[in-house]
Amino acid sequence: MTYTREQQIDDAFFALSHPVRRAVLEHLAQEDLSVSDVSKPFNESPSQMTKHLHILERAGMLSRQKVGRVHKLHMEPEPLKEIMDWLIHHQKFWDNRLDALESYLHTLNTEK
Amino acid sequence: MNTELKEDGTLALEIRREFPFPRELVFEAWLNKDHLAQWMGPTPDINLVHTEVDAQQGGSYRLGFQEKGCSDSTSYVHGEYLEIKHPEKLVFTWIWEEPLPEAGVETLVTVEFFATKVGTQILLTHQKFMDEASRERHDHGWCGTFDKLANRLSQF
Repeated sequence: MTYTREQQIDDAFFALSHPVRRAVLEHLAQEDLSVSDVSKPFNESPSQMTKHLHILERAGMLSRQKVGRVHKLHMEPEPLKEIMDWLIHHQKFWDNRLDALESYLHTLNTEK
Repeated sequence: MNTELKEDGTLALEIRREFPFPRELVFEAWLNKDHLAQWMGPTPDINLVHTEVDAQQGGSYRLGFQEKGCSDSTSYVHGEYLEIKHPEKLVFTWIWEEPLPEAGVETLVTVEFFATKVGTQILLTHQKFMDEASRERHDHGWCGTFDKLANRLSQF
């Protein structure tokens, strides 16, 4: 099965829908961390943590890199960029539409 | 106007606007096909070239936009009216069609209309549609996180 852009956006939105996963990304945005270091600030069980990391990985938001004997987690920026593009695109779209709505309502009012 | 990110666990775009017009009129402008055709386009950025609106709960719509200067390609969006609460609230799905990159991604638009001293304030929320099963509640702030990530992204 091919991984469509639609699924990619879905996965990225889903990955961002949990506070622990957002916080993990926030930490990884600063530096690469091992699984145990990245888990420390959270009160999550190891299996829950594994699940969170797997969801982020599936969304392409983090990768694992081997540094010596330790696997470090690294944040991948592309999916976040896509989401930001989505937000910016739609914000601009609605801003323009609402400007037009306002002008149109004024036109209606003048005609009366 | 204010744009922010929603705090209910889903990523959403929020836009507030106030119009010096009665709520009935502002609400009507969203559902009446003739009104809609007047403000969805033509505007400085796009033309509306296709308008299909069945403005009732469960009804659907389809709009075709042409960007100014790129008249050979039309972008279509369609959706279903999930809730129509006259003149307070409008909820509809919003799905772009091929060949747009986000084609098929189901998103949800909620427009709420509040009567104010000036006239009508609308709150437009555009979010990625998630069913109840995949919606996870949370009690953490979200905007701050996103800002930090955005700052970080600008360095890549």
